[in-house]
Amino acid sequence: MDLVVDMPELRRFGTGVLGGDGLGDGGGVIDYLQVQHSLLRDIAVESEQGALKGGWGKTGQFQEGLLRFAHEFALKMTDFVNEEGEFVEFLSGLRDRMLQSAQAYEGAEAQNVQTFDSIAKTLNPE
Amino acid sequence: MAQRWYTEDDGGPVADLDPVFRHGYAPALHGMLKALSVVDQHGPPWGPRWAQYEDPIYDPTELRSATNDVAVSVAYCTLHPIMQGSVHGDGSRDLSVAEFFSHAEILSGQDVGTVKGYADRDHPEALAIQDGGWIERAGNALENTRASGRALTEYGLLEPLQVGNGWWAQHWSGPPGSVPHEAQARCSTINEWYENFRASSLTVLAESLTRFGAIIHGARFNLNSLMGACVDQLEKFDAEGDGAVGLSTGWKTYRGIVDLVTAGPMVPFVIADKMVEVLSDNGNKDLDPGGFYGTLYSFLQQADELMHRTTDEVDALIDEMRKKFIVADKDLGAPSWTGTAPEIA
Repeated sequence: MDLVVDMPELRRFGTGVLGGDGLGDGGGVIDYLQVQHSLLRDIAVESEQGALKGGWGKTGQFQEGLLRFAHEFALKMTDFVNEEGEFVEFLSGLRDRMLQSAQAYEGAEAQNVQTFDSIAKTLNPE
Repeated sequence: MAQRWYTEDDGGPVADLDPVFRHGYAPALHGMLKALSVVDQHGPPWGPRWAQYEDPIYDPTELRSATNDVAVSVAYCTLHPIMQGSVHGDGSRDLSVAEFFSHAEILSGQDVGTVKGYADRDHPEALAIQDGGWIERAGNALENTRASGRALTEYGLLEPLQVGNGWWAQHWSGPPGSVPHEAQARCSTINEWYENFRASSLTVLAESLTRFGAIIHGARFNLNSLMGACVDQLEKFDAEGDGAVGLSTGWKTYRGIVDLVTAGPMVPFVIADKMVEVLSDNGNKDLDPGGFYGTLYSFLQQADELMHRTTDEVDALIDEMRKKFIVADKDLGAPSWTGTAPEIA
């Protein structure tokens, strides 16, 4: 199977579509997910720190009963946020490899061109 | 018209309660409880009180506010506050003003939004949500992340990376062991993970928040209604004496909020819209008709029962959330590809 490395497309996809490396316009998938990720993390924190908490300092079985939801919700939100974080990391890794592929291929191609030039010069000295 | 024996009071334990209570029946109940926790010597009106006669031929009894102290001949009886149950000699206990608001206190503070009307226990339509507070903001953020993300932005942009898409062959492919071959294999689970874990997890989380909000709103409404029934019954008993019957208040719960998933994966739902679903009757609770003290004690028992019921609903919600989240999480992790990128394509 031949190696296909479409350098312009990989650069476009890595920088423009995936983004997240500061080189694109900030509208990439990773940029979007990072903003959402931060928002979701805030929700997880707020849910446990007071948004779902009732009562004014007294404790009791009923208060504990209602607080169980806040704890469980925060736990599940955190699970989700961590999972989402892994996905963002995966996309970042994918982007790096795309750009590195393009760069490595370009380097090899430049080397080949240089070699061809050198051969051409050898075969056809001016 | 007889003078009222109590004055509504929205201070003290009522001051920090949720507006449902503060603008509802709590100030009236608070005023009554304060009046029932003392013996006012300066009537009329004197306020209801407990009379213990020196002559054992007379049974101790609760006196209504219209009963003149002179008429009961205070010289031959001792007056006690209604709340001082320990003087009954039948195992009754003393009641404190604060304990009547402990349930409402527990149901205050959760940022689940505000309702448009209060103070009308017979008209649950007043419970229509004006705004869903933090629950609405968080729930809508979750839902927007799920639905709009999938339909419009990042998910659509990732389509070329999915299995079978011609993008790979055209732009980035190679033999086994090459980076593009590995990349294609790693991307093969994006679709499944996205659809089966990410989208469904966000739905479960948003749905659970909405249900929790509805449980709290329902409990607040029911407790405020119970306070209203208590206030009405105490007034009725004071006006009519032994003939007054125990008042009943309807228990309400939300319905309809369980159908969020049926909105479909592409259709976003709005939390506030879901929380305004009408209430449905869910049985009635009767207050014990046993006079002033009996009514108050009955209120505390019914309020405890309401809280038991509410925490049971919350426990059921937690169980359901756990089960659904586990199903969503079934063997599905986000694809990963960490470590240093190789040098060559």
